[in-house]
Order: sequence, then C-alpha cells, then structure tokens
Amino acid sequence: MARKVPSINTSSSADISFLLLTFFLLTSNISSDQGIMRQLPKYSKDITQVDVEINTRNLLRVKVTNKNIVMVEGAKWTENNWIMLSDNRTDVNSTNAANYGGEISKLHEIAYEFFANARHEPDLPDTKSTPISEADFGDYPVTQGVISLECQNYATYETYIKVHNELSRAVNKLRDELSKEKYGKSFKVLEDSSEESDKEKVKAIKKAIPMNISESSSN
Amino acid sequence: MARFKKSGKKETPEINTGSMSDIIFMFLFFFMVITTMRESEAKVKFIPPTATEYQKLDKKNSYTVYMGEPTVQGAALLDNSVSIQFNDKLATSTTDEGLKLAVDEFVQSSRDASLLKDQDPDKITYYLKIDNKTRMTAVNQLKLALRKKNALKIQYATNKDVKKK
Repeated sequence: MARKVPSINTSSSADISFLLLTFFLLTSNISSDQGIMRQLPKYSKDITQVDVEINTRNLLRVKVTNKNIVMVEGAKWTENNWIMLSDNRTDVNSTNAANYGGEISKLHEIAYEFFANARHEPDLPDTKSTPISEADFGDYPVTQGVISLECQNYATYETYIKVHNELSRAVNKLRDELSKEKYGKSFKVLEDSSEESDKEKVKAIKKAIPMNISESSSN
Repeated sequence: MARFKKSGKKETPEINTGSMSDIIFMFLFFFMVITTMRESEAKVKFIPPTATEYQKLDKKNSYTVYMGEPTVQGAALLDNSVSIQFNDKLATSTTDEGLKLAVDEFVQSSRDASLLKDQDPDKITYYLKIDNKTRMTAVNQLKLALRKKNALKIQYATNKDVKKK
C-alpha cells in the first residue's frame, strides 16, 4: 500500500513574503534621479583675470541679482538698458511693469534667438564655418556666441537653476531642430539610443551647437 | 408542488490561500525591480528646484553632495545656515581650509570607489542635491572647491516640472 505524503502547511509562506516585501519597501526608494548636467571650467591659479576679447555682438550678459531678478543685456537687447525678467508675478504685473520684460521663461526665447541668428543679423553672434569630423557631418557654421552668467551672492539657487534650465531649453531646441533636419530623428531619441553610430551623431550635433556659458560670481 | 428545503447545515467553503504567497512574491519582485537601494541618508532638508530640461543620472558612476538646512545637531553651518553633506558625512568645518579638506577627501574616496566598481574615475558625475532656498555664495563655494580638485562633471538635482511643457 502506497503511503500518503502529508502536505506541508504553506499558510505561513504568505506571511514570510509579506515581511520581505515590507523590508524592501522600507530600504529602497523609487525616485529616479535626474538633473541638469554641467561641465565646470578647469581651475587655474595663475590666471585670475582673463581678458578675452569678445566682440559685443557675440556676448549676451545674463545677471541674477540679489533680489532674484534676471537681467539680460546684449547688442540686440539694448545696450546699457537691461531687460529685466522676474519670477515674481507681482513684480511683472505691478505698477512699474514697464520695467519688466516678463517672466524668466522668456529667457529661452532670447537665448534661442541669440544662438540661432537665423537671419544673420549684424547685432547677433557671428558664425564660423567649422569642419566636424564625427559622423561625416561636414562643415557647419558654428555660432560664436557666449552667454556670460553672473550671479550675485544673495541670489537663490532656485532662480539660478531656472536660468540654467531656460538656457538649456534654448540649446536643446536648436539641437533638436538640427537633428531632425539632418537625421530625421529628435535629439532625445539619438541621445537615448545605445547604437555607436547614434552616439557619434550626438557628438557631432553637440559640436555644431555648443553650449557656451561662462559663469562668474559677484557681490 | 415544489418545495424549498432548507438544508440543515450550511457552511461557507474555505478560501484557498495557497496562491496568496505567489501573489505576494510577485509584488516583491516587482518592487525589487523598480526600486534601488538607498545608499546614503540625507541629513539635511532639501527641496530641489524644478526643471524641464533634465537628464537622467548615471547612477553607476555618481556620488552625491547634499546642501541644505541640517536636520541633526552638530553640523557646521555655512552662509544662511546651510550645511554640506558628502555621501554620508556632514561637513564639520566651513572655513575655506576645512571645506577644501572635506572636498579633497570626498573626491578621493569617490575616485577610489569608482575604480573598485570598474568605472572611469575621470568620468564621475558629482550629483549636487541642493535646496532651492540656498544662496549662491554657498553654492559657489562648493563649486570652486570641486573645481580645485578637478571634479568638473556635475549635475544639479532637479524635480520634474509638472506644470510646464
């Protein structure tokens, strides 16, 4: 006569897995980390003051003041008469609204126009035809424009990141347009791709549309 | 005529719980796949600013610096009562010299850890989790210290901006 194998009581395995589940819930975090990438310039001791001759048309000055007001000045944007952008709606809508050019989100339009210079205007940056070796890109008129970002000491980090975000937005838009025109794909798709040829294309586009930001701080 | 008989005993059948553990195990695996282990605990309060143009962080080769109001006692305070935390350690000094030492140690240990993990120590991303109320003096102080140690690739932590875009 065959003996019956007694079945194992499995009612507790649910409890055990519950415990494991709670353990993992407590020790892990879901939040995906993301942020704005930047490359800092190399530090050099000797050169404290660098006088680089930059043509006025090639320079866009962005200044974040202690009161978190963003001021923009460039050859096209009325010299010696800053455009003020503010994050604070009451500033923008107040009685002296005439002083304000709008909210910070307007900065990306200015930066876009500055870097693109689609109509080759004389008060927007010059371009210089540069050969780009990656991905058989060929020559491209690379903009000579530089954005100089100056931050006063009491400005808050929030405004600073907003300014960076707007500048990135302008550059990303330009890169995206070039990528679509040249390769028929959006820049984001190329960046996310793991193919070697796409990586070369990303490098080429980054060279064609560089993000030229120079930073300084002041009191 | 039909009759409805009431049966004498009425028992609710027992629910089979045999599959319960399988279901919970599936849950468990699901959570294990979508989450990551917490590496360091923030000892400072910080709410990152929001942005739309963010990029994903390469977690394999990145090390975190926190900056914000400390939640524990005994932290050295920078300007506007913020303090800096490197990976797990709060900075204990905020003089330029002390900060330099702390950054030196942090960058060195990051490079060692990166080498151990078979990553390129020159391609480390320093992930800066900074509270959005921090003043730029403190941020610039940190950036300068990182630059002096040739730690140049940084990423500012941001949250997704839900309103825009």
